[in-house]
Amino acid sequence: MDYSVQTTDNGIRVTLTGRMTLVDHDKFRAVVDAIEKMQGTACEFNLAALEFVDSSGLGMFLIARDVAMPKNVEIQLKGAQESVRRILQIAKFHTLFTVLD
Amino acid sequence: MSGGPYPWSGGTGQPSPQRISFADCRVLVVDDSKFNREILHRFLAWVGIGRVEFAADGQQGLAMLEARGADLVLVDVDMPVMNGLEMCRRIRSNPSWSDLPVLMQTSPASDPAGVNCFDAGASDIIAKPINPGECMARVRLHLEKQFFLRNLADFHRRLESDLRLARSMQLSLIPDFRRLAAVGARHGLSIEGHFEPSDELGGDFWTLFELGKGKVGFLVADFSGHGISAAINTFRFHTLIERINPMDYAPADWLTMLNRPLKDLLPVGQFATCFYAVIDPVEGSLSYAAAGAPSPLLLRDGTATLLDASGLMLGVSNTPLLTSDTLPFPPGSSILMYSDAMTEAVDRGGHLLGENGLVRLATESLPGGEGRLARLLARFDEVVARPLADDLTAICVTRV
Repeated sequence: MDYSVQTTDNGIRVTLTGRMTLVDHDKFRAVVDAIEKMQGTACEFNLAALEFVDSSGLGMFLIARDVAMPKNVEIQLKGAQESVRRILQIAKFHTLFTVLD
Repeated sequence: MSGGPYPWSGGTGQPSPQRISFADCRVLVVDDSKFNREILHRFLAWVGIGRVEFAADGQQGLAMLEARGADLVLVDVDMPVMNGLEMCRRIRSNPSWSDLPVLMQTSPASDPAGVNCFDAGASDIIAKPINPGECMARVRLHLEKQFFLRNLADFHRRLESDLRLARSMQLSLIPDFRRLAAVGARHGLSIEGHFEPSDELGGDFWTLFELGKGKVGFLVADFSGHGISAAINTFRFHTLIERINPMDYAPADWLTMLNRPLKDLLPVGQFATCFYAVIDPVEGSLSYAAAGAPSPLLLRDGTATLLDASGLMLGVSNTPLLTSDTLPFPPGSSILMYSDAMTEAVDRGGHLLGENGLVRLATESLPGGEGRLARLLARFDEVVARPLADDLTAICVTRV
């Protein structure tokens, strides 16, 4: 997995690319740090270029949520491809996150 | 962030490496000159070597090595009876000495770059006339290298045997072939299971329960991640289900009861996907509850359908959101429960097998008599690329 973080009008946009799996935990730490430091109310994960997410990857989103909630930051999961969308759907992630097309 | 709840927090840096004790090292000096032996003895004493032994030629040196061993051998090249090169070759021809550091004193006039010594298998050379500082540094270096290599090899061996033991402990949590056959025979079911961690240990778990009144419960769980931490969670889970018995509870109620302690137990980011089904051969029904599990596959009258097993994984929220349903399960029906490694397997063209791929394989291989899961896994192996990235569990239950 690769990632980039950009500032937006109301928060940050995190773009994830490639495969998000167990080995990405350390990399994801930087994303969590960015959420901890961010200003604004929205953290948008752009998932359009994310090819695959496994259970560890879902766990990373839950960690991001845990950090965002006390700051009243909304986490948006946006633009997931079909296979990733299916995994989010099975996990009923729309009940925990704002899932957008 | 030390001590925090996330996977990367709580580390206190690298443990300090063990130090080598030169006083415990044994060095064998092989040199025909008494004067040289005394000089070398003094250098080795300065290094702090505790035990220094002497031989006057290669043959005597080999005999002493054989009798008492050594941590390092310091050999002269030119000696009567058996010279240093021949001694070194013989040391290397013995597999138990293949890593033994052998330092050769060589004369730049006869072997300028020490090529003959290295050819014979020397670990290093010390040029004559011997410089005390160089000699001491090389002895220290090779003893330290040897020490760390041995430590690493010991650690590796210990870890390997620990993991082997842990693996057999994990396998003992899973019902074995005999139990499947016995439970199946009592309830008119054919039960086949496959459990395959991707590393020595895995985060998958499955078991079955005889619930009374002819009902049989099947529980399949997959903890996030894999390897040791996920495996430890399967043992915690096993303890939990021993304590909170499924008897008489509706599937969704029971999973809800398991969720609460898991939520307290698991750090943020760890969870279990879960599927629990109760087959009632008397009623001819299958009731299930699911928490974010891969869609089980139901095969009735040759038609495969995927069940909705979505839901918040166990351990994520205090208010679990499960999917539950009750379906007819007449004789001849099969249900295939599996972990995500099955649909997330990649075919030889690099594409995910996916749910559609699995439905195709299952429709081809499940109909027919005994050995349904074995046939499916054989087809699976024809299609997907090994090794799998995750733990694979698959259970096929058929009403006969």
